[in-house]
Amino acid sequence: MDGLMEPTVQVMEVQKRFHRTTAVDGVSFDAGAGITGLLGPNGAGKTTLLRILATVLAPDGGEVRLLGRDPGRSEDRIPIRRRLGYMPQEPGYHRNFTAFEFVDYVAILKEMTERRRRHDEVRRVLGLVDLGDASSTKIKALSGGMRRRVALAQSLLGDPALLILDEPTAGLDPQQRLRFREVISEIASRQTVMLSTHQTEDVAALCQRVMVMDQGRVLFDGAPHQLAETARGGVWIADGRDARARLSWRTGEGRHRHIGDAPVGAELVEPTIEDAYLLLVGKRAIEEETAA
Amino acid sequence: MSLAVAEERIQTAMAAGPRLRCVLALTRIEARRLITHPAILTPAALIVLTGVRGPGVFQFLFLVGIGYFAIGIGTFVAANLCASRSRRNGTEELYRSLPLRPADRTVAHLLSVAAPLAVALLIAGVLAASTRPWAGASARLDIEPRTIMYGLPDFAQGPLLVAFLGIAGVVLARWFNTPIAVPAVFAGIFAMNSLTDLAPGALRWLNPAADYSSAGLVSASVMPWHLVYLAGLILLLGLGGLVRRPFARGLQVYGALAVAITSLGAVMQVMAASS
Repeated sequence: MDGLMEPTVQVMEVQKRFHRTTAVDGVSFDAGAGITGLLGPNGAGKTTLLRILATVLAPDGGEVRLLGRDPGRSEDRIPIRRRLGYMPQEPGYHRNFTAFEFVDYVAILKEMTERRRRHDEVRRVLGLVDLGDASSTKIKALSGGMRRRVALAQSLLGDPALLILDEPTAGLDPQQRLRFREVISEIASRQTVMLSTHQTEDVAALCQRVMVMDQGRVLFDGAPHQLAETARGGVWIADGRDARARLSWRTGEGRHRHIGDAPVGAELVEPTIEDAYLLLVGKRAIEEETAA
Repeated sequence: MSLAVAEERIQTAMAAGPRLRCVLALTRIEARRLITHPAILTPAALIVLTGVRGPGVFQFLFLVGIGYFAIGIGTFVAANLCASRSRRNGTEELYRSLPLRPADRTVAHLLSVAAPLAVALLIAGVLAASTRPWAGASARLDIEPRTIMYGLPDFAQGPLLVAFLGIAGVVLARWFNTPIAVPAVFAGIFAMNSLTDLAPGALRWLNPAADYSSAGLVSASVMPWHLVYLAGLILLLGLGGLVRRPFARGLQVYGALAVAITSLGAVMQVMAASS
């Protein structure tokens, strides 16, 4: 088969260490058009993996191919970057730039030199994230959510074939998240989107595929409904706390929702992605979520 | 999605320009930000305010170099802040994922110094037009009764010092990421001035800011060679901002040229001052 059928992202046994900590530990997967969500607690290795895919970090071991090229080769790296959109977890902003100026600056760094077309493109992406009216506002005067949208806008420049988004919905209000889902789902009908998130709702609403990571490894790789299925029979509700549950909490209705090995005769309920995720990554994740 | 389709769509959506055009587009933005930076606008405003007292004061400020020094220091600080902006604002990670390389951004920052240089040259042009050195008259000031300028080349030293300080600001940002870097450079300038003051007369011209009052006038032919020396130093300093491993062939040629120009200027100015 020729290169036309090659997936956009190919990751083979990739490893990355920082001193004694193994951030990514032998991860392998392929990804094509559509949205692949990375779920996992803090320190799971999601951001490191996305940095490797964004060509910002080089892996210590294994092989990565992006858009049919090897980012380890300097002659391949620039062509990859031309077709890549990246929104880092902490993108950083030039506070004295307006939203337009910042995205325009990034557009030049993306080799968009023709001024009029570039400005049209900047206006287009700012419009996509509903920042058209705030384009001449200095970034220091924008709210946290609006700044995230500026960062999202720059990643959409040039309609990238591979879009890498590291916790893009952090700090967005529900309305903005809805708009974000709208934009990303539209893009993903044609392109490859890799996004990391803590929000299981985002995964359920957006992703065709989800990978759950913890301690640098992939614990689950499949469709979101398949992830939810892994918790079937392991989620039940009761009037009081059940000591046999691995995790439990009091719901809004005053009853207790439990996750773990359900006792015989328990009132089983339909599992959600969040239930399955918590079952997979365990107590550490729920502590992280509570802290967050 | 097939790669061929993706490739075609991207090429249709956005024509990727050659590196030079990207660098020039970035230079335009950086030049505008540099020239409107408060570190440059503040001394410029102070000079204008001082000059309101009369054209003589304005003339004095630039003929003795105070005006250029003020703009030069402002350019140094502004260029340093602009060139270190991405590091200070935490955008480096994002920029590293983009096709234009950090070296190209540094080139744009170096070229942006052309904006304050152009302003300084404009001031020098106005000064030269008002003092008319080509008419055979040396520029003398009532406020300081000594000969300060002897010919047209003398007027270029101030603008070149502005460029020198601007380039120094960019190079400093490229190599150092510490708040003590700027004061350290000021201390370095002071030390260099003190050292060259201790040197015999002709060698004092090795100080980029040397003038007829500090280094003494032996021959008016010193200044053209001093300008060559200063231009060489600017090129050499620029090399400090561009140098990266592996040392590219073009950079080797540029470096050799910069060393040659600096050496030629240094030797010839000292010879002219000694004769």
